[in-house]
Amino acid sequence: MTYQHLQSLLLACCSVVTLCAQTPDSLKSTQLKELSVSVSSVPKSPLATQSAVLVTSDEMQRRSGHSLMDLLAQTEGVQAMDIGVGFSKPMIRGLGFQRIAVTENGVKQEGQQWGADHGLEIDAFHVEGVRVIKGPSSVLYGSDAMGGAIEILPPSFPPSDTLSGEALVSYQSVSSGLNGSVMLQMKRNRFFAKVRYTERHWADYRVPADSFTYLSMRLPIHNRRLKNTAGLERSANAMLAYRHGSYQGRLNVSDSYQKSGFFSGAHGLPSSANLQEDGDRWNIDLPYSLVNHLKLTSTNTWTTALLQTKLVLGYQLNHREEWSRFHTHNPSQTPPAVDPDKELMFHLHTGSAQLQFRLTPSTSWEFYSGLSTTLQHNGIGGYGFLIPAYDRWDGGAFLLANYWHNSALQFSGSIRYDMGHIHAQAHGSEVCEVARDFHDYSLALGVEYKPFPGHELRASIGRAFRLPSVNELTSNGVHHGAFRHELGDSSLVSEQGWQADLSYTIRRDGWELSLSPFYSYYPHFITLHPTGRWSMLPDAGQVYQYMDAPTTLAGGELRLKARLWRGLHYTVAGEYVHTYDHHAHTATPFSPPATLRNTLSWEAKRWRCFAECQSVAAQNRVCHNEMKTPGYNLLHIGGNVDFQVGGKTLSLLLHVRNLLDTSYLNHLNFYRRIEVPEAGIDVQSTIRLNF
Amino acid sequence: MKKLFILSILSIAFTLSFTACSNDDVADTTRPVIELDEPEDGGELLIGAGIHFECDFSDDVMLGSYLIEIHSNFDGHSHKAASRAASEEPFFFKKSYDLSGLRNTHVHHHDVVIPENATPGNYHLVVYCTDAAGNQSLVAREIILSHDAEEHHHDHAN
Repeated sequence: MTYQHLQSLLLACCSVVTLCAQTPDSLKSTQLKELSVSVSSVPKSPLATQSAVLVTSDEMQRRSGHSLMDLLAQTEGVQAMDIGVGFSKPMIRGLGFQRIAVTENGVKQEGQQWGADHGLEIDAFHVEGVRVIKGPSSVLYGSDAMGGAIEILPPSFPPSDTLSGEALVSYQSVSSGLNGSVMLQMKRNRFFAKVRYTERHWADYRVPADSFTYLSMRLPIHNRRLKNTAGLERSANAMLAYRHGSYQGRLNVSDSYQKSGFFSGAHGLPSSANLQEDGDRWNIDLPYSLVNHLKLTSTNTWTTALLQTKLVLGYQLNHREEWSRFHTHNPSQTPPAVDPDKELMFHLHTGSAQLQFRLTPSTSWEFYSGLSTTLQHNGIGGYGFLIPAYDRWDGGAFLLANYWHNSALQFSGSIRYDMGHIHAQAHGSEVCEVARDFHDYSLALGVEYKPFPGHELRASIGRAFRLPSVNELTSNGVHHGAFRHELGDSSLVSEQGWQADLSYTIRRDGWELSLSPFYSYYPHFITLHPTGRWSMLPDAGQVYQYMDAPTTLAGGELRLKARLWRGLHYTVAGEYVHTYDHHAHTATPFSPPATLRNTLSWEAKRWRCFAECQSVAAQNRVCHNEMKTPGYNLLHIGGNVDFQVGGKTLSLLLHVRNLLDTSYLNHLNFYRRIEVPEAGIDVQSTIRLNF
Repeated sequence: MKKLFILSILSIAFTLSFTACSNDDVADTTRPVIELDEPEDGGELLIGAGIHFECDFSDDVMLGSYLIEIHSNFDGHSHKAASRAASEEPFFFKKSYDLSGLRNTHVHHHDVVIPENATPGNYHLVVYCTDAAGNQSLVAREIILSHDAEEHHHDHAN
């Protein structure tokens, strides 16, 4: 399908799918009869009128992929920025990195979000349900939720005493990936405990090509496997919940460890010497990265008829190391005596606290107010340098009101004020000390209107902001893999922008249609721009500097699902984002191409099968020095079935992705710039036993 | 009434998207083209002599500048600070040349002189070129510096 074809089709329909199961408020007497057990287990979002998509635990289990973001990227408006096959970062409507907040147990995940080759350290099997908020969510989460938020929903308290569990194994042929996960949960009276352990191993992944082209050099891919892309991941999660009277509390501890190799061609200039086969597709050789993410959270809620008080405390330690044989751009630098090959180390402590009140004085009014603060300390190590050690503090307060005019019309409005301080230490001669204070406000106004039965309209307008991150203020060096000299600007102001958002859903017997266009304008938006000045560092080319440039993003999502005959369903879902940097007069980096998915599925109570054609348009709108990416079509097929065996449920899933073994490039992949093709045919299977 | 409502919603949606997508003036994102004739990939160059550099640069709008960089590649590509004889030093060269005002040009010079004390071995020669808009291209070559390479003969036939 041509780009124009796809784009005009999308524009004609012009928008998103909002599968948003809008949860009725349990405290509103008028809506009590709508309550059901499954619905009440999903905590509602205070931002009730914001365009959002709920991915339930059933839906998560029917999807397959290599990472949490792989699963979520199958939702319109959500994209995964891949780093090989093992890891990916979230992107919502074309915004990624620090512009998206990922929260678990109400606490924002704090890793090294700014890095293009750093993934998300969350166990995908542990995630039971996700709410994706599209558009600015700064009002709830402060800075960083400018482009949206991904809320990982907590497990629901089982209604009766139980001792149960789950064991699963899954396999992915493209990387010979073998995953195992065991979960046990027990509920006794007021207590509910749950533990899970997951282990994943994968080998160098397979691509449908024997060579790739980089800078006019033809380089080999031996055995069609990308050398040194193997990895492993171990995650442990434990939760203890307690419920008594008006109090409900949850204590969560999780630790996620990942070790993964970097493709030998992605460090320095790829050369055929580095790509020689080493005979072992399971080994993780230099260069590689190690990440350990420890997270402790405590969520406490006291509920009375009038007032709900919520206190959330969190501590996270994100430790990241990148190992690569000692190399230097400075001839006088010698290898360190200890760990001579440790290139980079980041050690980020984050402490956070939130206090939130919900007041429901009448059936038509609901108020939220809250205070939150986050304290961070980042230490660094290694012979290389990317960002300096820094301390960061931010704090904010918000007020939010929801008003139900009648059962068909709801309004919401909110305001938030944040302050922040960043203190980055000097580093050698490259980086000066930076101490900056920031403060800004966020706004959101929304309406939800149900003009006729089965019709739902949501409209919102919001202002969001983001504090500049440390790399934007202080970077000064060559980022491996990016092959360019990136320079920060310590005088940058915070990013600010406005977004208007509309979503219209029609639900009818047998079909459902959803459209959601959006339009955002950011008077201040920070991106890297080429300066035309040559860097003094070797292997660097020209200097790129973080600059403040006005930027527009617009687009939308569309989804139509119709029942054709008995269990046979047809779904068409598409998304498009148009980005424009008013300073450079180009698109912004990593603009997602228009995508359309046509799916035929047969859905029965115990089984489901599908065939899907994923059409991705060419991305010809690029920023300076970004490569255009041709379009492609992929065919996926698969199915899943549940068996009841003596009161236990055995679920089998088999998906074949890229059935035709199409060789293609993904515009959003970190390895795109070295022109490495994406994974070929991939058989993904899962066996899951619930007992 | 109902149809009117839905139609008006759709028209707002259209307007929103089209305002966004119309009349962007799109900048030049086409990279300049580098055709490096000399030195050749894998070429052996004589220490103590000037490098015969011959290259064509072109751009669809306007060239900016070009840069020649030579650095050691002694063990694959890890840029290791290797131990070396005291009298010898790994050769490092980096210099930029202005091309502004030109759309295409042929460059031929012997500017880059390899000093007598340069460590023999494998090196990378990289030519970068930018255009006026900031688009950048580069061509990388593997070269070998040695004391007994043939002094290049001036063959300008092609």
